[in-house]
Amino acid sequence: MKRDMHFMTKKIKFSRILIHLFLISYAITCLFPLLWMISTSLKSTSEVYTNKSLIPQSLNFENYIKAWTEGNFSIYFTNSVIYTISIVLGIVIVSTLAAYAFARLNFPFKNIIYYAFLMMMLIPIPGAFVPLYVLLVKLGIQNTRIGYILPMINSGLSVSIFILKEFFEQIPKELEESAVIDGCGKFQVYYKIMFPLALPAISTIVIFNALSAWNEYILAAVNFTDPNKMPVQQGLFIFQGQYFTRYELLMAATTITTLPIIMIYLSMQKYIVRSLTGAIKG
Amino acid sequence: MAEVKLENVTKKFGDVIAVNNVSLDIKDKEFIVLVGPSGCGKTTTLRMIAGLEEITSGNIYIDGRIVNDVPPKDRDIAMVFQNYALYPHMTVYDNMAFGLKLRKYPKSEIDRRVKAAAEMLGIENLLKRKPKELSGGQRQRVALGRAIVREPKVFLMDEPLSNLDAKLRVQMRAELKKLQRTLGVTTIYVTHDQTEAMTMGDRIVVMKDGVVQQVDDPLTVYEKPNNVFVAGFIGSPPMNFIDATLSEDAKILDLGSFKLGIPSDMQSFVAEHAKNYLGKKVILGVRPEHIYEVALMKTEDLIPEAVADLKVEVLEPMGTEVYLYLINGPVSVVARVSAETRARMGENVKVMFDLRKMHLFDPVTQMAII
Repeated sequence: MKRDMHFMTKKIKFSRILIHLFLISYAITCLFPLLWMISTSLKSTSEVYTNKSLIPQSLNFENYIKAWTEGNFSIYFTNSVIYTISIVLGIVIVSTLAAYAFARLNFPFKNIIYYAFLMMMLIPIPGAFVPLYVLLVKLGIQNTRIGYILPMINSGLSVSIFILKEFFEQIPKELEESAVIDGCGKFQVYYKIMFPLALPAISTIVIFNALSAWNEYILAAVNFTDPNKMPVQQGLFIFQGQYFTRYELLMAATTITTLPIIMIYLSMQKYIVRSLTGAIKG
Repeated sequence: MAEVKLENVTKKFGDVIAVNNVSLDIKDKEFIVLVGPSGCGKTTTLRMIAGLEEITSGNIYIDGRIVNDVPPKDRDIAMVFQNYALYPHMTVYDNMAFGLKLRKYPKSEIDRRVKAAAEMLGIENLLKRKPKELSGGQRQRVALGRAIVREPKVFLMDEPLSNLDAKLRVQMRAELKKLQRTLGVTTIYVTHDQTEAMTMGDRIVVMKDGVVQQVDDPLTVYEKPNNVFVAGFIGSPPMNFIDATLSEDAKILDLGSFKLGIPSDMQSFVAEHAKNYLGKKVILGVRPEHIYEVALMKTEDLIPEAVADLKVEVLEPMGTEVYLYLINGPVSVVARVSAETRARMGENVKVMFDLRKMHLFDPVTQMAII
């Protein structure tokens, strides 16, 4: 009996070691590119090709200044900030309102409209590029900021509405009814009660859509011809020459582009965990 | 403070009639309890008064004004929900102040009212906490506080104590009743718990299948139930019902396996009130406390014709009293006797049915005859 117990404890310990080994190696594969990027961004041009170590011989912070100034990176960065904020804001406003309506209001063809939104999730974005391009040209908004922001809002809606609808449905109806008796109108119920309660789900949506908007590359290439309107991902191309790539500048620029997303994620981490684990209790 | 009147109110959900032609007059400052089993329409009635459900037909008046199409916020009512419905993202103070803020009361007035209500409910020290940091009882008080600060004409309460543990429920029951007396606000209270209804209500409205069965003060409902349903629903353990035949001369009730003699001073009363049932089948209703153990009775109280010998199937000691589950042929009854009982499980016991306090019901309509 004792031997069996001992064997079982050993077995559990061994499986734990295996799991931890797997998790550690997965974490390393995720972190290594990030570390390599930061390390390379701090090396000199020659050191990039000679020093394979992750620790640079000297810290060349001027790479960041060069990346920012030489490649007009400030313009791309500003563009990306504008696009990301507009896209995320648009998605949050439209998707919370739509999801609330789908979750709580009764109107004709509600389910058909909802499933139509869901079906959008099945269409890969590049698959819609040709009709989208034609539409943008016909509307006269091709190569404009709004011509980029609107399709991006549209592309983020279906998943966001899906997540939020599920979340709104979990919120007890009595909270709304209580608010109605307290004196709220329909819209006040939405923004004074439902919106704050949905913050964990909204944070998830903000993160995912901010990530997707910040990293977007193809639609920008399709829509924009004016380099001054390009987002940061397009700007990274500048450091990639036909014959020679300035890796230290490219990695400095890439580090700059990565920072805002990491900051958003860290600041909203609490809400993301709650959105995936928590329920609303009155 | 206000009177509430329901006039032939009906609510249909598709083909299902949830509330059927309910008429009620609730007096100013009255504490009225809607009681009934699940699905009897009590909550739907309350929600219609609140304005959370549209009525299919009929009229609802609050303070003399028809409110059928008045939105909930303009009915001057406050509601306490079963699960409290406190806003999780707001502090206790904000929860209580929310309704007043929406109505644009001055800050000083909001503060005065919230603090006064908090003091009344003993929750002054909780004002900065969020609902998740409170116990069930504390949440209950906050929900009450939220209703009180509004100083509404009517309080509506939808099973507000059902989420509390048994001990706290008894304590809150008394506090709630006291609070209602102090504030003097007309209160409509929904519960499925007949004890709550009996102890709290000035009047009780017993409902079944969307229909009001009886509206009366608790004692009348208990002592003079309108029908078998009310008689069985109010009282714990419930009233015993036995199929019987009333003799032509109104002297004997034949219960099948034994007969009971109606006391001589009752016979003319029975003959007069149950004249259409002489020689016919009736349902005899006897409350458990009206079946006495003969061994514990004084001789002068004994009516030998009403004594029967029944076997003790189960014996449930409750502390100060004992429930005896008795059987004799098709007759099966519960008797509530003193803890000094000499009855033993499996043995026979002589009991007397107090027919002076009996109820007779029509076996077809189930309505009370006596």
